[in-house]
Amino acid sequence: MKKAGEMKRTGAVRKIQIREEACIGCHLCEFYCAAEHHPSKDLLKAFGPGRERPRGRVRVVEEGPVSFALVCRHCDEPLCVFACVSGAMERDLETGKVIHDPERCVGCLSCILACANGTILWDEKRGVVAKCDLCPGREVPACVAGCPNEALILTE
Amino acid sequence: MEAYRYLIIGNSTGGIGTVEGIRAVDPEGSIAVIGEETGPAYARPLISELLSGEKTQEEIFYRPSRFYPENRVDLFAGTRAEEIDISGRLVRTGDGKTRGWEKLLLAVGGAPIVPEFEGRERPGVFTFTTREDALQIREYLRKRGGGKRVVILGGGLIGLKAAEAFRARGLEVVMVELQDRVLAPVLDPASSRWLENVLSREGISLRFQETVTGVRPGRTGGFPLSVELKSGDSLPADLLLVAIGVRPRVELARASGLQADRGIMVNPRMETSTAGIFSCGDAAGIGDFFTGGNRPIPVWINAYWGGRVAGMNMAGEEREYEMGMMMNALRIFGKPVLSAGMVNPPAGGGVEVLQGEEKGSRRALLVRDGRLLGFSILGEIQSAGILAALIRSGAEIGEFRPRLLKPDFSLLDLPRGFREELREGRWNRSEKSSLA
Repeated sequence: MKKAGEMKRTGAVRKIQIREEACIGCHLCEFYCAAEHHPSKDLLKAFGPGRERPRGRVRVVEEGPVSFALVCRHCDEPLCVFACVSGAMERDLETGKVIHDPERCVGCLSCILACANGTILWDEKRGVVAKCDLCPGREVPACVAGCPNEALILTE
Repeated sequence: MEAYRYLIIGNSTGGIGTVEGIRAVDPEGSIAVIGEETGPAYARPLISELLSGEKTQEEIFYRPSRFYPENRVDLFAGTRAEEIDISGRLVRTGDGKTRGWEKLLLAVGGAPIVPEFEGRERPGVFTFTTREDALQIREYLRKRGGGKRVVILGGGLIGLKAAEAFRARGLEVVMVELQDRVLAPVLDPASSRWLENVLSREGISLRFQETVTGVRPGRTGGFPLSVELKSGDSLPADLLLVAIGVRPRVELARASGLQADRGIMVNPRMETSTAGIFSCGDAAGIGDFFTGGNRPIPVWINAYWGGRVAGMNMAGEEREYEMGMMMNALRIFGKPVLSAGMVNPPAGGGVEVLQGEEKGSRRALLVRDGRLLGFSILGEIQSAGILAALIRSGAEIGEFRPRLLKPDFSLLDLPRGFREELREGRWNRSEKSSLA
């Protein structure tokens, strides 16, 4: 008997694969992600002097020789969606993306308690969470495109 | 008479989870949802934001307006299911209609518990579990020129969120709790103390080991109510909110011949004692993760998830739900409070409590036989979900156990094999996983 697992009615789902052994801990993915989600979509403008440092949706953790990016897995049966009380978190049935609407988010933190990867980030200042949206409008997400060592790759 | 492939009684998260579970498997079969409350489903935990005035009714809808038409669901809202005819596969509703079904689901929720004290029916005594409750309280306070003081009976999640909303409206709040601390079922004692400091700073007056014995007409200060306490004290107040918990609504199920004890009994497929009839949410007795016994675990994610599993089974795809454990997320006066699993050591010992505290943050973890059973985390909560997954996995936490208390705990603190499993979504103890 199958457990709550994959859903039907989805086409090819693109996911970011994390390759720990290739990560050099350069944090470039964080910068490209933050810039992509800045209104300017420009690295220099986003991180320009005198500006509030933008926050991305990917985070690199490191200890000794080990480093890797934490980024949403876009689970087939996403517990963050199950847990969301406001309906801000939704899984797109066509693309398989788990998308978050900050307008509907009430910052109840239920998704953070549900995510087994710790990839949903709490933005205390705005009172909402933030997560990877796989960069709508881009062929390849900014973190993947900017990673110099293929520690983040896109799989279908 | 209308007849449906799937008939769902209950239009809150359990019912919506069921619709989404059905539609993940069966895009065609006809679905109807019967909702006792009017209108589309709303986010029940957000009624406190309706009470405070931060949100409007439209802003707490649980799904966008396209939800029902897109999922081809006939919604019958504002009518109550009165009778289930199992042999005839019919449901009769309060509006006099009878509807047929092939598969039925009951997600009828819980009813607020109000103790048998004198004056419980008096105007000004409210419970707080529905949108209508929030609107009626607002209207009541408006007529009283806003009001000055409220008494809340119950220091649980509902009571706390109501207290925050009343404070936002500028009211004095006295919280009366029978236990010697707030949130006793969902936090360890030291975490309760931590939170009580926050509540006191926010001007909430806490009265522990105390309860309400009666409500009389007010005698002083123009207050309409005098709330009488066990200690003999009486509190003049505009309003008494009774928020001591909910009990599963099992009456309809019982009257129909379904087995119901502590909740409507369901198996791991979320099916009741009668084939073809399913249940989920606060009304259902689900498998307890720790004991295996059936009991309601009235938390949001269990309602949705159980409904989703029920829906898939109703549509013919075999699924099991066995994740029933307490999981609560709360942000109260801006402070994050998260807990899951077992938070208070059971009598008889054998459970260790690991604790860590830094400025503005604390965590308590319960461990038995080298396995994580539960936790309370306040303040720095970023990776709490990984800990919840570790509980569900039943994994031994051996050598990385001290790391679980780090405030910046992340996937990095787990062995590589564990990280890979969690990335692939394998944390369920009954799946083939190296975690289990």
